[in-house]
Amino acid sequence: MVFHFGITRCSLSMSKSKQIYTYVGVLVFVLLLNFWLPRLLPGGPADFLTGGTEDGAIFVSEAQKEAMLTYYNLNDSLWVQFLTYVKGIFTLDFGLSINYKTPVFDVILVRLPWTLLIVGAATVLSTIIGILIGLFSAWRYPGKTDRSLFLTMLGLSAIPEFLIGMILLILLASNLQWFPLGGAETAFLRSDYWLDHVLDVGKHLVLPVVTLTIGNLASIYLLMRNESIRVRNEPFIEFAAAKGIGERAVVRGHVARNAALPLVTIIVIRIGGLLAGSVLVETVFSYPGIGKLLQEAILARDYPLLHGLFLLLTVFVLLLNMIADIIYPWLDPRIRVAKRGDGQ
Amino acid sequence: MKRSQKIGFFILVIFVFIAIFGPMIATHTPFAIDGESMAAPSEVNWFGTNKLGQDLFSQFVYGARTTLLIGLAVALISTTLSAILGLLAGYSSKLDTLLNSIANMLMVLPSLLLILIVASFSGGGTWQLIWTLGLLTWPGYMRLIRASVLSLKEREFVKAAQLYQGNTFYIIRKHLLPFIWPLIKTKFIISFQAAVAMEASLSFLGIGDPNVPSWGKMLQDVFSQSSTLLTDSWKWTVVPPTLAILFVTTALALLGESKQDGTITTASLRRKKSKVLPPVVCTAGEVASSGMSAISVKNLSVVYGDRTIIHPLSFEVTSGNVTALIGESGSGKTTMARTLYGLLPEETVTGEAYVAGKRIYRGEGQVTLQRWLDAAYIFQDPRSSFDPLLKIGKQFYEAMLLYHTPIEKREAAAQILREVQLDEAVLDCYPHELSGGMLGRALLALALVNKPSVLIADEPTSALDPIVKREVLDLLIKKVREHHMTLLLITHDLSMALHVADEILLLQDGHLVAEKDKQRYLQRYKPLSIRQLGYQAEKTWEG
Repeated sequence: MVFHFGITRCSLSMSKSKQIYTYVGVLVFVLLLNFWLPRLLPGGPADFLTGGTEDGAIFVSEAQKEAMLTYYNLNDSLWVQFLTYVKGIFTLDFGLSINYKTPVFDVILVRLPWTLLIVGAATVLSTIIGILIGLFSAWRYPGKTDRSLFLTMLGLSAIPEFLIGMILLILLASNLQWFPLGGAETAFLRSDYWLDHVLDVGKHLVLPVVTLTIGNLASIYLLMRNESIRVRNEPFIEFAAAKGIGERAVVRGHVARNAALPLVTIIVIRIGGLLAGSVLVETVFSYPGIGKLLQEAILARDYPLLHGLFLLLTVFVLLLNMIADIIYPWLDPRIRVAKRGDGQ
Repeated sequence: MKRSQKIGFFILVIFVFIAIFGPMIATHTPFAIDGESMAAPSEVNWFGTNKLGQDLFSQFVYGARTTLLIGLAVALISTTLSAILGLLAGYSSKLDTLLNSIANMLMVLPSLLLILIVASFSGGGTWQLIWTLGLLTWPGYMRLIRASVLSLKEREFVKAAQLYQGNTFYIIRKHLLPFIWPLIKTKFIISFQAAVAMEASLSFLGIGDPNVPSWGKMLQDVFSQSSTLLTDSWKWTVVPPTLAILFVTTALALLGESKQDGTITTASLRRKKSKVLPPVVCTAGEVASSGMSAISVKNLSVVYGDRTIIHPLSFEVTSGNVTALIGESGSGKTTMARTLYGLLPEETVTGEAYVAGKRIYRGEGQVTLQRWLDAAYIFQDPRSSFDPLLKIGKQFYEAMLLYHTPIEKREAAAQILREVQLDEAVLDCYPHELSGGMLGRALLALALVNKPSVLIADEPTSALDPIVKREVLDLLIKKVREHHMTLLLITHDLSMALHVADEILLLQDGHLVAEKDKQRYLQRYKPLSIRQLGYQAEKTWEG
């Protein structure tokens, strides 16, 4: 992902229970933001209903006003509003989407598979390619091949994802017309063969997936290269080389495993970043996933829908974090065996 | 500064110039609707116009201002927060718990998601965006700075300053800041770059102040009209802002590249797999040059950069002998041993070295040393010599070139393990499941597995505790004698050397000490070390 302000996380250093507190904290934090921000900050629904924002650029119809009023129960006291809000969360009832006039839950459910499709494909591709190139680069470190690969990837990791998507769109879809301009499938495709439909979906899939992959690939490459170079300086790598097993066996058998293991956690957690990044990519390619839905909801100030989407994304991210916490000990023999010993 | 950093800096300077002087020469205001719709670049509108007829050049140069201002402001806020909170957390353990848990929480969510949540509810003013980005993006580096402060606090010079009642601010400024300064610098540039990317992305999504020109907004204008892509107008509507964002973000990324230390003391991994070769018939010249020596060194020197580690020296090690290479730490013993096994980068070594009659550096084909077949090398610490993620067995099999089927390999490995009094079951263990002594024996077994004629052991017992040390050393010597191997034992332990070696070589500051001086040195230290040896022996054998 493009927006990594921090470097790597050291979730391993924290104990399990502390992790859980953090996750609960984040969930509560997001829930509170969802509730209070629209009510307290200028530009929220309250402002629209009571006369618009300073610039007054957003047009709000009577129906929209009505919907917002019912949704926010703005006439109730804040406390009552809050209780209603919390109750809605537990019953998965986020209300009606103002734009779609259907329950938020249903709107999201229709869009979710498309996003999971492109994010899933991009995760697999970027992980495999990123790790392979990172390993290759570290193998050639220090050297010209490594240096130029590194600089390319460093630059690539800095470019905003939407820009990559836009360049691909203009070159490959608009100019060369190899791929469709947008959407997830051709509307009213007249074919009875399922294969045609699959190919059609596949064709629409390529550019969004490539865009997401490039963005994530660069950061996974950078992580893998760093980690591999670190591992390369470990005594056991020099010892493996001293055994005369040849460079390929050293890199494949020893460097790759030891460098990739600590990355597993980070890669799983990054899927959350890809999900968030789908907002940009889906907007560029008008791909009908939850990212595009989120962008539309933001522009239309469809607050019930925004609540639902933010909550969903947060829960996804938290789940990914938990999965990462669980699988790491399972993969590392040093921790795995210690645990087995405890159980006996 | 690296060349890539210079390029990044140069590009950035260009854009700073555009941002400062561009608006001064712009002939239109960015949002004035006074041109033709979708006009191509011309003398009136240098970058053409958009759908509404607004001048794109003026949007571009004002956009540069917006972008750089937002980047600068966010970088300043975020970096200041990271530094101050990092110092606070590192200094006060009370605040640490609180700050650390806030940081953890902020880091769980991807920053894009977090920022979207806040930005989409708060509406988009430029300053709101700046504060949102600034306030949500400090945790990563705050934790790095905190960790750095925590470790610096334990260092002597900080403790001393505290003892002398140094004022906290004085200590921070004089003693801590110089160390965390590189972190702060990197954080600033990375923040800057991320803020530029984030601003562009958010305006592209339509979140942002509609009254402020920005590159992301220019692109959003284009993309909200689907017709743009069908005509040629993208050439002037899309290309300039795209290139600008591309250049600024990559330039900042290049500029912010952190230093990574190169390793000049390790040979590249690029080396061919060892091969079992038919015995070589040496030419008369080669026989004469290597003689009966197992190790032969001629005018060998090692230079790292401008530092000479080993001054030109020559020596021979007689075949079948146990030779100890001794010297104080820093005398170049380990470098010598590593040189003899070809573990140093070729360009640092001059002169010639032969082990088991094979050339170590600059040799080709059959005359090069086949690692682990002609000679084997035992590292200092058995614990860090084994790959922690692989079972011992696998680490044996990959080096066993004399055997072919898995069953043969397993049998041979079990056999050699029994020779060092280890059970076959060790093959199915991970290194961390074995004790230091067991790993020491396993390492020895591994070295014997191809029956090499020469063994180089670099302080093979220094990481072991005294009792185990004795056992492993005795086993090593016993096996070497049994298999008629040549052993070069590197050690700083004179008593050990005197105890086991047939011959002793003494290194001092990278020079080989001449015979006469060596005898004098040995005489001087012998009584002392014998006493030590006696003491140690008492402790080991009677205790």
